[in-house]
Amino acid sequence: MSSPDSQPSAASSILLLGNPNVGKTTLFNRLCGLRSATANFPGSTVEARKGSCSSGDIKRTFTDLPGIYSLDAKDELSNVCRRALDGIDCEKPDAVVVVADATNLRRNLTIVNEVLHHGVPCIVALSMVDIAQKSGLTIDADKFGKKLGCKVVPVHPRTGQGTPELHKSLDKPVSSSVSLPPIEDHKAVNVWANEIIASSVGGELAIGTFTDRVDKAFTHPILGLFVFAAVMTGLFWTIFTLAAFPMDIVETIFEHVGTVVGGLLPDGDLHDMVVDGVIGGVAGTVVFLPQICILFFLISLLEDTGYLARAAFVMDRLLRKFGLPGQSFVPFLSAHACAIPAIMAARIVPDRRDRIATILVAPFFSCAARLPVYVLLVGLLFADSPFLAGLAFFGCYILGALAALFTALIVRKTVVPGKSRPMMLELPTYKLPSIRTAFLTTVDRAWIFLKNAGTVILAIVIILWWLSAYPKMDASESVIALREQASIVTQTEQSERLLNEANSLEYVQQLSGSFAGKIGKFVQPVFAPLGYDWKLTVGVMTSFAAREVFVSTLAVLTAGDGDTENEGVLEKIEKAKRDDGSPVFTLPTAASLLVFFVLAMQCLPTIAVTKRETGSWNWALLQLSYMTVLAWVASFVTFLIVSAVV
Amino acid sequence: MTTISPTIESECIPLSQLGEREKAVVHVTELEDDERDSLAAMGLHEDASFELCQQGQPCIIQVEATRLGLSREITSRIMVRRCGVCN
Repeated sequence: MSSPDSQPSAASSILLLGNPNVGKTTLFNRLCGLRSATANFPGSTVEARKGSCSSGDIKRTFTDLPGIYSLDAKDELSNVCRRALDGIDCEKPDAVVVVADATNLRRNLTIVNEVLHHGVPCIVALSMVDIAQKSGLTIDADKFGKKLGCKVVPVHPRTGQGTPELHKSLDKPVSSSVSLPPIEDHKAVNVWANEIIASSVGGELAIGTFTDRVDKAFTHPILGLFVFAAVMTGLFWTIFTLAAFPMDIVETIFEHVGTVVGGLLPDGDLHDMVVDGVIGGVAGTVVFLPQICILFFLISLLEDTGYLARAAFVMDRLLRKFGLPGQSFVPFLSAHACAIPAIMAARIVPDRRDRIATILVAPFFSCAARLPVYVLLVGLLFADSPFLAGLAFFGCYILGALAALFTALIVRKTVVPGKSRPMMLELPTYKLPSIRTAFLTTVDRAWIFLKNAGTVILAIVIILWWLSAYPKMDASESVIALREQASIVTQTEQSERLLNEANSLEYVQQLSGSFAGKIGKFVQPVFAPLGYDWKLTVGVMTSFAAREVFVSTLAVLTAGDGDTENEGVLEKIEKAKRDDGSPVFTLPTAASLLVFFVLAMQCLPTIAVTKRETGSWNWALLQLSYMTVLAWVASFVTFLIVSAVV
Repeated sequence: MTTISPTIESECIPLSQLGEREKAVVHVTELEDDERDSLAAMGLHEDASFELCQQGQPCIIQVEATRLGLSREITSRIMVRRCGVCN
């Protein structure tokens, strides 16, 4: 810290502060690049990126604070920034760099005034000077700095122009000693800002007509919706198209890792836990990494262009009716790929209460992992009518979306009461996006996702594996007989088939006798009103780790049920029998199960991510309980109705 | 940057009743404190002049170089005076 009376020392701990959309994060990325990491502020879910860089012999740490318009506001973001300035729960900064938009000085001077009042040494980094000059403004940075009592440095965050001068200023940062207007007196602040601008800024700012013209289409009540639909269709087409190949690679890598590690370990519990539990379980989550990377890369590009704010503007009309802000559309769209990135994308929603409401309802939207279950059950329901099957498939998506929107209404009347924050949204000027910023954002988000997969999700899959692997059951007589048969048969194909059948049967018997199986049988009476036997109950329970597991669990559980040897997996599932010999899948049961999978949470990793993003297990458990109860009730009603009709 | 004195009408109307491309000056707001402070920090304080770019729910206004999207819940509580020459 320095004071006007003492020789200032070089700043090593620096905060970056400023309004949204002024190029603050681009400047941070330019200064620190990949030498940065995201961390939550103590006692808050607000994140800031921390990075380091060197200037000569001095190592500097920069903290990129969230973009705010005022330190004086009562929201969580401003509170976090105030605490960071005061050094509460973190290191007290040696200096603050306020990034100010040169094309919008009057507004940016509000936050500069607030920082100067704090007494912490301050440097103003003027961004967008090139745009200001093109628009007809000339800014005398020295005069500007004298009026403020601190150093003013023009910078170009994308090219790095001006960053050496910024470092030089940070070698001797000073606190302002000029007379400042009171923060709460907006009129006095305005007069002060006008005086500074009049003395150091020349020319007249020409307001761009390009943004105005584009906005006529992009924010139009009807045309804007078409543009929105086109952009979002393109976004998701790109995600699904581009992600398919790297997802295959991730799966192949995990398969190879499983084979190699499995080969190194002796047969037994450790082998099964590492291969089936750890590698298999983590693979089930990490396989979505390519989708997540592409999603965040594209969202970052869209945000940088200025379109994302327009999309929020257009969607605000619809979502506000359900107590949600326009920004919620980004997580909702992401949820169609996977609920995990959707919940992570909810950070785009500025108000905490709006954000929690968004997170609570996002998993209702049908994700990619539900598709195999929909395909199986819709196929069972409407095997002879592709048209009705298609209609039912579409109906699943509609049911999920309606459940989300109406749940949002309930949430805003109960646990997160009140209307969503009225829209007060800045629509930044359109500009070319920064690939570098998008890349660094993607790396950051991917790392957070992988850390989650390597900690919470890893712990969950190990527990689930243990529950289904213990206690160990001895191979039954039929399994031993099948294996003996396989060893006698000369044809390799037939021998392999018999061995697979023996393994499947052994797995079913193991699962049936395991803790998971016992829990399934114990819990089965709860699902009996929905028409589920113990096998379906175990399927529902094991799919709690990941929905897509349901189909493979059923395939395994019904492996011994087929009447003929040549039946496919789906046929075997369709013809599966209950213990009393009646079919597992009747029309009411299949319909009820379909509704259950549309509405139920059935995804442990999502619960872990909800806890992480809301900062509390309470929200995660509320989400799980509500979705499970709703799914049960809706499935029960479906079962009764379909039973009455057929 | 220079400021030209605007010709301001005496009649106050809610911002939500302003026509497209009309310019006006904020007279007074009936907003909650935090809403008023947020808008002021975004540039829309009392005496600020602006142009209504797009009417509707929500609407778009231009305050100097800042373009803001505001819902009717906000604009119906901001009283403005039309002006002819304001920047």
